[in-house]
Amino acid sequence: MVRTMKRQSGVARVTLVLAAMMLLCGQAMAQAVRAPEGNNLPEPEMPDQMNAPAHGHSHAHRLADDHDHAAHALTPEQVGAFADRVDLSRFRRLAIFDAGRAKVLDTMAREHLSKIYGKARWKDPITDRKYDPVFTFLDMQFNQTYYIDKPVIHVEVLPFRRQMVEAVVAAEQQEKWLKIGRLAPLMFTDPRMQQIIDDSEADLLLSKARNQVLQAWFAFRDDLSDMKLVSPPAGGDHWTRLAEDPRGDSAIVRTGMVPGGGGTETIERVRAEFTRLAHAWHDADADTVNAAMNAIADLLPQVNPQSYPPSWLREAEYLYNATHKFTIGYVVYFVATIALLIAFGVSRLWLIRTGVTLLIIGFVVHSVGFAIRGIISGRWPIHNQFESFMALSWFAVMVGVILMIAKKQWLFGAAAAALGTCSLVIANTVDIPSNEVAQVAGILATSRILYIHVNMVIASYALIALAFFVSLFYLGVYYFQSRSTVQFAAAGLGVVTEGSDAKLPGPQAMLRDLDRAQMIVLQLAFWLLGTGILLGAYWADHAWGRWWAWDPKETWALITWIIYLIVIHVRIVSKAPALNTAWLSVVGFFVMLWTHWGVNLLLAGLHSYA
Amino acid sequence: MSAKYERIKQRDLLLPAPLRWLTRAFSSITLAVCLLSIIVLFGTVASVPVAYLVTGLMYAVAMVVCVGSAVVLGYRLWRKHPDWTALKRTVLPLLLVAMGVVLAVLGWQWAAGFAASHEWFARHRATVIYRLPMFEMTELEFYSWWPMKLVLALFVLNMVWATIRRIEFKFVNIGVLTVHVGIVTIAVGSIFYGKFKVEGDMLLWRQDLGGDAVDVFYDGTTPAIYFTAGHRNLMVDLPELPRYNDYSVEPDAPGPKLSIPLHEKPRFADVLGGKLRATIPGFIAYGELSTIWEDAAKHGAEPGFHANPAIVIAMGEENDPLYSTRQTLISSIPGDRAVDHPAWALEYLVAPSDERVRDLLAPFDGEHGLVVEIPAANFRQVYAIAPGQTITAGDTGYTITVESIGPYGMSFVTRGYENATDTRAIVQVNDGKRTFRRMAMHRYPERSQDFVPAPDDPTAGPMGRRTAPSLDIKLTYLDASKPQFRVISPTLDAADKVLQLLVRLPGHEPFGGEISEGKFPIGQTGNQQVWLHIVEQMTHANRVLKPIPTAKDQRKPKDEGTYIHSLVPIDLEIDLPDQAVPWRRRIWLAHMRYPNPEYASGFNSPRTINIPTIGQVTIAFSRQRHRLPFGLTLTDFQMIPYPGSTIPRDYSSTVDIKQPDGQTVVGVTRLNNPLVYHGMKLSQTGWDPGNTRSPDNDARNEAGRYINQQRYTILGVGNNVGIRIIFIGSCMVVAGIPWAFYIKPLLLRRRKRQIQSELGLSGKKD
Repeated sequence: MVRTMKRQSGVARVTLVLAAMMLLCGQAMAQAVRAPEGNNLPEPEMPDQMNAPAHGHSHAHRLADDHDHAAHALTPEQVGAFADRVDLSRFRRLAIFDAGRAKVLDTMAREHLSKIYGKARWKDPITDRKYDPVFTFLDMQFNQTYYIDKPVIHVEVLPFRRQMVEAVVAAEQQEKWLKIGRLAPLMFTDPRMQQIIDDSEADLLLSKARNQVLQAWFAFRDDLSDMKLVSPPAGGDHWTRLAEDPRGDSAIVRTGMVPGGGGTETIERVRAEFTRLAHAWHDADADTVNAAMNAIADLLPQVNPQSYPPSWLREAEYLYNATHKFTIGYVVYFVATIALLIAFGVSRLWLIRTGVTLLIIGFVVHSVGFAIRGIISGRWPIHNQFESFMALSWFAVMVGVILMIAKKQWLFGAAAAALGTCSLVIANTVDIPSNEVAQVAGILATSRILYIHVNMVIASYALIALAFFVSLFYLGVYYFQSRSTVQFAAAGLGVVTEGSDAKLPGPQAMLRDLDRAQMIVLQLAFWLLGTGILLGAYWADHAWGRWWAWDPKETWALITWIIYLIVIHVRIVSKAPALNTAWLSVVGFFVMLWTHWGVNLLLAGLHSYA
Repeated sequence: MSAKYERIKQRDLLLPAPLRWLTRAFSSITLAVCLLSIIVLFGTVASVPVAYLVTGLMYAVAMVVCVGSAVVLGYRLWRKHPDWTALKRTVLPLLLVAMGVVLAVLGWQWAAGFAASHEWFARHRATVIYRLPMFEMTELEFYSWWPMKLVLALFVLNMVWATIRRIEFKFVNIGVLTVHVGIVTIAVGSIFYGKFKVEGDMLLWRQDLGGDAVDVFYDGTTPAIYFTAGHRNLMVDLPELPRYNDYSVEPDAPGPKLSIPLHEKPRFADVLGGKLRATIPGFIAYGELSTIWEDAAKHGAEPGFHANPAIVIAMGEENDPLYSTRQTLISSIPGDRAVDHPAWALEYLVAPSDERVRDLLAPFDGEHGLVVEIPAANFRQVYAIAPGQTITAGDTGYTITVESIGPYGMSFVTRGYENATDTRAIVQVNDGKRTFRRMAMHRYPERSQDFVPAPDDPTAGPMGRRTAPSLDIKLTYLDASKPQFRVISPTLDAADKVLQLLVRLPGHEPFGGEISEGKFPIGQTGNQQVWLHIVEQMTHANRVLKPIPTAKDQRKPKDEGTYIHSLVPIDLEIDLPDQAVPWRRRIWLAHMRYPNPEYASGFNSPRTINIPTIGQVTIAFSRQRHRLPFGLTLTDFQMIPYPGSTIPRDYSSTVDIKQPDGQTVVGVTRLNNPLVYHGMKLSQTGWDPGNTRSPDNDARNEAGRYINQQRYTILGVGNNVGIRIIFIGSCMVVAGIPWAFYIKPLLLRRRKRQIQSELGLSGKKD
């Protein structure tokens, strides 16, 4: 990535200028009605154009041949109607090789749109309609000029965005564009914009912002004919472009129009279908578009069927995308949590059974998501922040379910459900770094010890999180020893009274059982964390030549472990060991969160990828 | 409390009071908890930047004071009034807690505002405590600092003493005993490890590209200065050199000061003689050496110094020239006398010829103009031109066809014009007898060239054979496609003289005048007018080497403290026999990762200086060198990508290891598979991606090996003294914990059941 960005920064200005001029030309052609006199380029009237009633639909794509651009201008409403009639169901499941792995077009489109727009679904500012990522991806390929005056290019960092907006937007429009957070590609044609991008190269504070904008810009300019859609022949691992001569590595034929070159008859047919698709897209002819897309979806897997990803795998990846990486399982977890909490409050077994059933369903959904991630990435998915977070919560729920069933203590289930809800809601709503499936750094890909080290540490964090919820139970019962509290805790511990006080144990018995429950989890967490840290040290010595470097992540993992070491020793000398354990468990949970998240985000170190 | 400890405590009563207190203190678990808490605090302070520590503390205080006290009060209210109605008993405490939360949020807002309004917080966002001037330690040094060592020593002592006095040495307790012995073992191993650990790295070039055997590596932390005088070499280790903060060389400057006398170091006098004094008077932790232009006149120009007029410009608002970095335009250097902005261009001219001024003032319509002069016919005419246009030069017989207009395409490489850029018009000239091409330049008309058709000349380019421009016809191209500003100094003596401004705007006639107050508007950004300010005028611009510290917020956190951007000044001084005043020089050295001259790059190079009575001395600033007991030659290196991609997955370095007895063995090191030889571990840590922008980056030689990438490898080198002891201790800890947690309770329960069954009691209740 770094090398890519360096390359981009070097050619950024030239490419920006050229690309911007190309876009301008496209726009000029598209807006033949209001084109200026002579050879002058149209003035960039960015903010007003956003609300302009008529928009060019020039189809200045690079896969189709020359066409009458101006004659087919569509309104945003017509684009919406066209989108409704396009059937992307098969086309989105096509395989494409990108960023070191084969993925489905649906994934590629989502990643692409996220890179350009900051979100996977583009929202038309005129109609307020959100579009399917694959539709927008293709529309940007075949109909790019439609987007050049729309807020498309995400400028994430506010000071950088402000600089740009103040440079090219009229004062009364600036606030609006600042809020949108996206700028129109046309704005990038302004020399002042290029100057801002140039000036930011040497500014460390803005260089990240600049890289993000350049990435968005280059993604917007990406060309479908540059994308690798043809799977390798038997025994090979080199995917090729449609416009690439399979006989030579670098004989890329790009006339800018219909791709040509060598290849099998099937590839030639695919090319022809792509041309048909481009023309039909240009004409908003949904029937032909659908026919061409289905033909391509039929033909491409036939080129080298032995190396083409199987349909079940592509289906699984699409399902993974469609379900927000299966994080929608939080709904089931949430209902399970509520059911269990109500069940504890009213002490009804049927409600507990309902909650437990929902919890297990949620866990199955969670597990399927975790497994598909593993299958798609081709590895046990624990290599980055998103994966370790999902693995942590999955492991915590699994342990909670096992303990719940083994001990018949439903509070483990409630804790697991609550933890599952929180983690999947976060995974669903927060943009956790590295949430897309990608290849990992070599140092992580070539070690077996890493798997054991990371898994043990993640498992210990999971148990710490589980213990936190159990300790909250303990503290609740300890401080609020009313009948309802005791009944609540008793149900959690498996003593379901069904409304009768006869079987209700006393608060002290409850507290003793809850203490046992928290210690079961904490002891295991303590051992796993200690072993995980020492395995990490072993790995560090093996891989880097130093077993302990006081790297912030190492230090904070040790601090987390020491918290629980203190727990063990405090229990020996304290007069209220269980209460102190519960409080230290709460403290330990927050220290663990800092170790897992805060250290990565705020402190630089060797574990920044973890 | 164990029975053993009860017995020992009884015996303690026989000891004198101070000894009794001491032994009880070190048997105390409370002391262990306190020491562990101190370790936690130390780790927190050592790993979190000071700005975050302070803001975090403010947030925590607000939280504890507001929310904590509200919760405690609310809870007490709830407990003390069981007679209240359920609603009242619930709502009032909740209200209190809500108030506490609101107050805490307000407190956080205040804390955030306070942090935002004080520059200290922004400056220390990445400053960990050990980076402050009073510490100047590496992370490892700080954790090995005596307070931490003392706490760890006390903890180990406490643990050993408490273990001996409190824990029964029985089979059932083998778990906790193993864990404690394991921790002591790790501590002992760490002492050895810390004392004898050496680590660094080495760079190996591929043998087929000329790489030799290397038997040295360079330390990961300790810097060093290298002196070479003739055949004598000296490496001066500098463990005392700071690494995070700047130390000004100016005696009157505020801030910490530094003075490291190198001549007092061992062997210095042996190598460089006893008379030379070398001192490091300051340090720049993060900066760069840069050649800048200074007005020699202000610093007392030496007699005979040639005039070299220059101006310093900056852009900004009308009354604020701080919009951009300043730039010096040197009239005598073509590449340095102009600024080519995408929207405008500016050129600084000194005493231009009347002819040039006349050309620059020549009016024409449009964006491109051509001045045509035919001296023999006394013909001069200015034309507006466009590609494809043909001009007939009166009745001189010349016709000129414009082929193309545009940028020259690349920076000039001609000596004296390096890095200069220009635009040009390519025209075809026909004088009635022959036709040739002329490339007429805009800013540098003296660089115009002719291209004569030469179909039989294989050295000729596609435009023809390049020749000096024919004197029969003079063509001057004038580019008005964007605003052209020219700041003109009428005479060589630029200082104190009023400058002239000549402006040509697209589609307008040129105009000019004096630059009043040293500024003029040059363009528009948004609604704001941008002004160009002449910040300084120099008569004798003189190029000097200056250290430029990098602004704090522009320093990459991961590079700080690594020396890779650091600069060291060395003051050299020697008494000369026939001089009253000693000979003095100050040189600035930029850090080199490896001190070998072949790895020099730009200013990151050794400096050679001629010292009276000693001769030429080469000095380099790099890292401490360690010798290996064997030599390594890189015979092959491969980057192994993920299938079908260029994303690296692994790296493989194959080396020949040459032992002192002359025998050679082959070894391979890969990621996660280091090569261990003679107690030294060689890990794969770096490689050569080449120039990824270059189209030749993938070029290979006949043997199919890359020649512009993967040329070298960087291997991490380190010993591992004591690592086995640490490993054994770790295994004991890992094995002991489950015994203590799971097997011991099992054994105890079984024993209890045994006793109960022996006593005839039911074993159902534990």
